[in-house]
Amino acid sequence: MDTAIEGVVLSDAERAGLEIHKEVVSPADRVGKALTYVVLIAYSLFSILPIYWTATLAFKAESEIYTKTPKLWGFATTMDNWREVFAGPASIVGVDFVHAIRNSFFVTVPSVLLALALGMPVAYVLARYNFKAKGDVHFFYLSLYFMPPLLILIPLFVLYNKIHLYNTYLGMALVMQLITLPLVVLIMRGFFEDIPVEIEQSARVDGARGPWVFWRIILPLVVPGMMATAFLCTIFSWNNYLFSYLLTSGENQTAVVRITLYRTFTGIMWGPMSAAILLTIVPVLLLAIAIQKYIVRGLTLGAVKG
Amino acid sequence: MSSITFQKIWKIYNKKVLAVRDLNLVCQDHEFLALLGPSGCGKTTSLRMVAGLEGITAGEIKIGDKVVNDLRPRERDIAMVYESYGLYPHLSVYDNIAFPLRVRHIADEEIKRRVGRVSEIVDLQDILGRFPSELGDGQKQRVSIARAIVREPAVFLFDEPISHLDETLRRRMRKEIKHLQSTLGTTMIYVTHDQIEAMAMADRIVVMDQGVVQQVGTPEDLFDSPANLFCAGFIGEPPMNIVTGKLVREAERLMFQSNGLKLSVTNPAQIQILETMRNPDIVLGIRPSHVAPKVEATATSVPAEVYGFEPHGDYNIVTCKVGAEVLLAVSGSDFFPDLGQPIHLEFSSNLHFFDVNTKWNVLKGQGANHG
Amino acid sequence: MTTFMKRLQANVPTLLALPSIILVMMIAIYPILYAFYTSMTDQLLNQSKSNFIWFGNYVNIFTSRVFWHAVGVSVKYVALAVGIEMLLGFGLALLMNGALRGRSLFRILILLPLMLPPATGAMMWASLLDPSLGWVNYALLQIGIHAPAWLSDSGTALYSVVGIDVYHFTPFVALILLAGLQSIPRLQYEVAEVDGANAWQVFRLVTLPQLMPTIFLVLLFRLVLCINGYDVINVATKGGPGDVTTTLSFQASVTGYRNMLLGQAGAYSIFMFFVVLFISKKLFNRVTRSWI
Repeated sequence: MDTAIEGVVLSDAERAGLEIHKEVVSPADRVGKALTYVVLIAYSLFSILPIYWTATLAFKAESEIYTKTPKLWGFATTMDNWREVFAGPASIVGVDFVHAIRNSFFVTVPSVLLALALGMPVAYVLARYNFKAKGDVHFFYLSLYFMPPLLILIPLFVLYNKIHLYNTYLGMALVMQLITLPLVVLIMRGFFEDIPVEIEQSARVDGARGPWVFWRIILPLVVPGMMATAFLCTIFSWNNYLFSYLLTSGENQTAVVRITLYRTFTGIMWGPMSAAILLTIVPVLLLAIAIQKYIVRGLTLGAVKG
Repeated sequence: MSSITFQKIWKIYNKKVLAVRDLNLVCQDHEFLALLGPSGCGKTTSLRMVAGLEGITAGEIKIGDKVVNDLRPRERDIAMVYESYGLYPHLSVYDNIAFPLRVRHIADEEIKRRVGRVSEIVDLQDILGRFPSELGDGQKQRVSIARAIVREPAVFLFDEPISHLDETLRRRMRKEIKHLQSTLGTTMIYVTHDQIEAMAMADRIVVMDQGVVQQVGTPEDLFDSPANLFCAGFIGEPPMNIVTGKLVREAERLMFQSNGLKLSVTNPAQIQILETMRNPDIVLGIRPSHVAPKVEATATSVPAEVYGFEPHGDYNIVTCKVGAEVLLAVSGSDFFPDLGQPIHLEFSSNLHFFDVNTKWNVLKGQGANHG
Repeated sequence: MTTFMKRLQANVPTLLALPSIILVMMIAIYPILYAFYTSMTDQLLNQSKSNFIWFGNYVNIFTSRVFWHAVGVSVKYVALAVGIEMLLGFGLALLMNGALRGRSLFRILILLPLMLPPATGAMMWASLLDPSLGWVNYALLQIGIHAPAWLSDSGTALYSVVGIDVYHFTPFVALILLAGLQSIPRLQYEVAEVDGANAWQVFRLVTLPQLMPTIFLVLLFRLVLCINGYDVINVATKGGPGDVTTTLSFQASVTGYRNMLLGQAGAYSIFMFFVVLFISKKLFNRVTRSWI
């Protein structure tokens, strides 16, 4: 019990004379605390179970995969699955997965940049100017996010075919704005609003003009928010399945879609598929951890400040 | 009976931060006791230990005759008023006040009666339907107080309740809170860092610094005989003049001499103790109200130069340079010197002397830790 | 400054917003209008000509067994999935709100499923739930339970898919409700404790009322996104076995891409559009006031 006063400077006489009071914890409290940890740990395990399982599959030898006794640890490993994934055109399944990853990249990066370029100005306007339709505009961008995808994708499929945007990076980058633009507009609005108006006003009093104020003063202040928003757009863009599924085909489809190609007529090639899955999800998971401070703001499109 | 007893109370955070050291104190039933001191002195911690919001590291706290160490806050029959009001934002003023009663399943009729009565006492009848976000700070604080009163608890615990209000409001609330407590007769522990508040409201004041009680006494006690240098400098507005110097003998008289100041010691009790001291170094304290600035010199006056000047209406504060020392003096409202003007200071015999090393008032022993 | 420049400056907001508005017109407004139009034609996937048939498609779907079956599946799917997610998520949020060691670690671990592409997650679960190769059935067998083939058994398929949805989106509910809980100042809990409230009273009278806007927000998001959900079904069961897991969303795609009836698929989509609009309107008002 002396540990309660270890670090304190006391005379020996004082220390000896002190009777430390023991904290009374009711049994109900103890049980409650224990249960809390049990539940949270159990759920965390549940959370990572599929990810862990897929990781094991990615490294398992074929015999370990197609067996009646699948193991979570202590199995024979191999790099064959990875060889298959990186084999390119020479792969057994005929899927050049590295190419698929490249597709994801060339769809995601332009989508995010385009969203930032188009969305930031709108976010700034919503944050700083007052006009009657402000609430409507906000709701409008939100509703883009809520649209049933097929409502837009089926006509877009027809349209894209007509104007030759089907199966192109540009076409994909444009559609992706349905997701990324609302994210940028609504989340960045919050970040712009976080900057006190006084900063801009004092810059104007000092004689600076609109664009200069924006580029040199405001932008540096929102860089963290911008990074978080950009990462979030990257994640949602990269993870998208439906847009690529319907508006691109064959070799141009993104990684998330191409993963399903490891389902062949002769059966599912779980090993290489799992390796492909890992390759696809690991970058995103890392990004997510990097921006977890802003994740609540991102997920609710700025409605809740995490 | 609802006195509050602190018996050998210690509070240590995280195994190393000493917040309260060996607190022994009794707050009498019906007493208004102020815990006074600067930030971090342990006053709020002590209050929260009474409330049950902080654990007790060592010692016992009793409310009445009952040891309350292991009782939950809601089992202690106390009510607390917070610095930041702590109102429920989603409830109206009426519901805020009614909350402690509702939670105890008291009948609606009874609740209505008691809330009505309390809101009259604190003058809130007109705003019972409003919500906290619509209230001004003064109103919020009164709602907070109403909520504390409505339960008719054994003890009030007030934690710097008016420190966020503006001066006019604070003056008014001081009177209202004091009046409330004396009318209801509820035992009150009141935490503040503002010595004017403590002096104006409390029956007794406990001055604390860095977890240790410095002095316990009535406002008069604290003003007239501060136990140590800390109390001397903390109590009183404007603050006491503190001058370090030496004791010297001149003819038959014992004198205090510093860089610019020379005064004779006249109090026999003081002379007796000071003469036995081996070290001639000593610290002098004299209140500005005991230093009178005069235009003309007198037999016992000391020459000085006007360094600063603050008119306060009924009285003025003159900052004077005496040799190398800077002293504050209080003058009448008709004294308006120019900066740099030479004047003469008349010192009363009400001098305080403090040991240069221990900082204690030479008239008091070491460690006056009781109450 | 010329009047042109002056007018330019006065209209800065509009100018700034213009590019994005043009884009949105292209990729959203135009398709929606086109979808409205198409839903009233007999357009087929492989033809370029079509005839205007007014509400023919709508009559067709509202009288078709297939449509109503899909509605039934959707209702069951959304009710189960969102219901479980809200309860489970709320529970997790409450647990993580108390004094806890390692809260940040738990938050990250619990967040991960949300960051997986649902289509990919479905694939991962498919392998985990596989009757012969998956670990789940094997583990259950070890404790004496003979589990069914989750995704291919018509009795369990719908529940399995609901389970995958729950896996992905419970974190969403948990994290946002946790943020809502933590935005309630700790002082209020102290005050309530001193006022005499026990744990349940604190929850009911202090916590819950202040959490309602956030709860409605999460509910709104989940309902809409779940109704729109497509990826998981497409990858995990393709609507099957049979039509056991054929939600409205999936049925719309089947109608359009397999049956080639673009017009009718449009009708499905428009129907879903109005359902989502209705739900949004009903819940939007109850949501956090800070939206405007």
